[in-house]
Amino acid sequence: MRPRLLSLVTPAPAGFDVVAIGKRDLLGGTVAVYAPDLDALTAILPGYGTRMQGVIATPGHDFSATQVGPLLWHLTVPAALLAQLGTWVTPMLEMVNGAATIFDRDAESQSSIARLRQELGYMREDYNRVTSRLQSKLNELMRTQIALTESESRLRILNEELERRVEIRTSELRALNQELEAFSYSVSHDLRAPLRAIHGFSGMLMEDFEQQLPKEAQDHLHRVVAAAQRMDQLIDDLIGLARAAKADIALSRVDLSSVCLRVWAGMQHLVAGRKIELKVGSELFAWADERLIRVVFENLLANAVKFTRSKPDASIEFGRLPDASTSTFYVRDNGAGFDMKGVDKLFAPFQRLHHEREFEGTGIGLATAKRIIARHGGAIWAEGAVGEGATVYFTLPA
Amino acid sequence: MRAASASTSIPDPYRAGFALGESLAPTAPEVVFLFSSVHYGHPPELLEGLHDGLNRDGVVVIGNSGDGCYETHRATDHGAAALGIDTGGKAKWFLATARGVTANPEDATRRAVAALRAAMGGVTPSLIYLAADFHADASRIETVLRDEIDVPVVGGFAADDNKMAECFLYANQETVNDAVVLLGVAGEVHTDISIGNALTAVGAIGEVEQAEGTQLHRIDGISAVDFIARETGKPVLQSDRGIVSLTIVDPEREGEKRLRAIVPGFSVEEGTLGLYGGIERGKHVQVCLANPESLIAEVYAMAERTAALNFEPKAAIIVSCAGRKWLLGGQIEHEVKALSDRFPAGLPIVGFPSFGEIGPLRNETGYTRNLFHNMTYVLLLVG
Repeated sequence: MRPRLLSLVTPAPAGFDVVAIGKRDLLGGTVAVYAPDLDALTAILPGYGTRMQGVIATPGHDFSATQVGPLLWHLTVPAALLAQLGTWVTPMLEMVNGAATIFDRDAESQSSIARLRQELGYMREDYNRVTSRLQSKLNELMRTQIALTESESRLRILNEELERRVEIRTSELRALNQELEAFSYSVSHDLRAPLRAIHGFSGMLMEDFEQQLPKEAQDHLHRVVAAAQRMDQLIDDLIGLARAAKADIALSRVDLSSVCLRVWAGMQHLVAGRKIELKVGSELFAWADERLIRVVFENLLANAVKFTRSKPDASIEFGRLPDASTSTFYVRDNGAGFDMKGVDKLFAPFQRLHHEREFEGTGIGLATAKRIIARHGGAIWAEGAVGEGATVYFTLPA
Repeated sequence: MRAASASTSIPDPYRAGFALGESLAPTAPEVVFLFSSVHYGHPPELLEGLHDGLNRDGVVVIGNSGDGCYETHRATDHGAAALGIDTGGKAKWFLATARGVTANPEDATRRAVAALRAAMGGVTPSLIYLAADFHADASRIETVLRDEIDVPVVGGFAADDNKMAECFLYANQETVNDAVVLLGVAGEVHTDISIGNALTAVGAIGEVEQAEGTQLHRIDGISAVDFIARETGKPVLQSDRGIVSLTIVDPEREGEKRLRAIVPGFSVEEGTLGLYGGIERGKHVQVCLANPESLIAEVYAMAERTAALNFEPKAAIIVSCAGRKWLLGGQIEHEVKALSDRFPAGLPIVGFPSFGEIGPLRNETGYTRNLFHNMTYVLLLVG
């Protein structure tokens, strides 16, 4: 829009139009206004100085030019120069037009800067909040770390104390066990000599004088002989148990199938006259002390033979469970079995699940087997049911 | 129909309005859409200048302040833009205003609708354009527009320069706030509404357990802020507005995707999240993440789809979430450029970054119900 030259004074300077000036005229574009004084502008547009763009000219004694607003200049013009006013203000108005564009851009830039500040403010708040939260989490983590370290330290002290106590107790127990084993072994040996005397003399008595004794005395004598035999067996078993605990372990790759068959061959006096099927898995190997593992088989097979006594078609099986992750072997029979309620007592010395009248025994065989397996680092356990046989499992290093 | 757009960055409100009016005057517009930034210290003078510049009686004016404004070839933080439309009398434009929208959004909206119906003398509008104060709970305005108005309502919520402090609505000769302003059109005018809302849902769906107005307190057994942090795997930041939103999951209304953007200055200490529109307790929500490339691609795709319109657009109005502007930064110009590139011969465009958008979504039969959105790009084409 072309700058306009307007006058509030009549007659107007050359080039100026006399109009009833309103807000639209003052703000509608770049304008030069000739007015009697500045108050005349205030009456039309209060605050005109900051809003108008152009030139205001008023009469004056001398010529002067003053900037009264960002884009507004005030000229005082002597009457003698009034005719040239239009010529002077035209280039000024063009200059103001140019400056207005810069002024508008500047305002836009100021606004953009203010907006950037605001957005930076948001980011600063975010940064402060996130770092504060991180700091808080870090502090929490450090407190937790300290507490954990303290707990670990306390735990280590407790563990050390516990280990020390265990070591003392173990040492005491070991000494007691050694004493007990030595005592058992010694007692067993010491008992054997008088027992042999009792057994020998009672045998001689029976052989030489039985017919001369009254019937009641003969019965007593038989009982003495039987008791001496049972005690001899008990001493043998106790010595076996003690040996199992004391003997040095010499591990080698043992063919368990072969050991089982050899033990079985040595037990033929026990199975004479009976029909017993023995199944032995082939090539079952384990790391073991052959001498001790033989004792295990002697006990397990002897038990199997004993408890299948009432079965016309007895069956005994030695094998290994198919699970390849462990070496679990078993000896299974189809004999009298046992009630699982008593399974906990099965491997304890002198504990028996059957009455002496039903099945003879000292109650030491399985305890001996358990001790030997334990010394190999293995485990032993049993499963069974009354009348349906029993299975004894044991593990050995593969 | 003919239309023209103009924009200005003149800082003085009267001079800016006058410049816009003078630019639009040759079109002799029946209606003017006016959008401005909030920098004008005395916005009534913007209207006064506009009317003086138009120098024409009876021009219907509607509009509002935004977080800047859009015009055919620019998107700016500062200034004003206007679009004038003249149908040569083939269409009639009616305006209605109702105040008190902050205290009672439903009542104010109903009063505005009733006033518009009265002004139209029983003629049903083919479309209603809405401008409203952002201080109102937009979701409550939505309930009236959604459930009680059976013509398409499109528009948005006035905004400021992200300070969430004040806004202006323009209604003919008046500058108002705390109000809802409706513009109804009837007659031979074609319109098309399309909405871009390409945000990707991430993480698990949570149930809103505690909410109050536009404040969301608890979701899925944890604070709203913790819920978003949990699903996105990072702390929630004020600078996430535009990036992180919540979508309301309604299995019975799968075609009605509604987004809610977060408001800067939320209370992280309390874990509460401010939204540009409430979400009721019991609703299910899912976190959505915006990707600038996807948003821009969708805008260009929308511009391409205008080729399938059954009328020739003569003017376009864009209502685009201020969060998109925050996210896109300098790339926001694509929201205008996509359309101006599509119409090289010249399509007058005007618009503003909003604090909430209103419009129906497209479906198989035309449009869904009128819905309130965030983070969307609402495009109204008139021809």
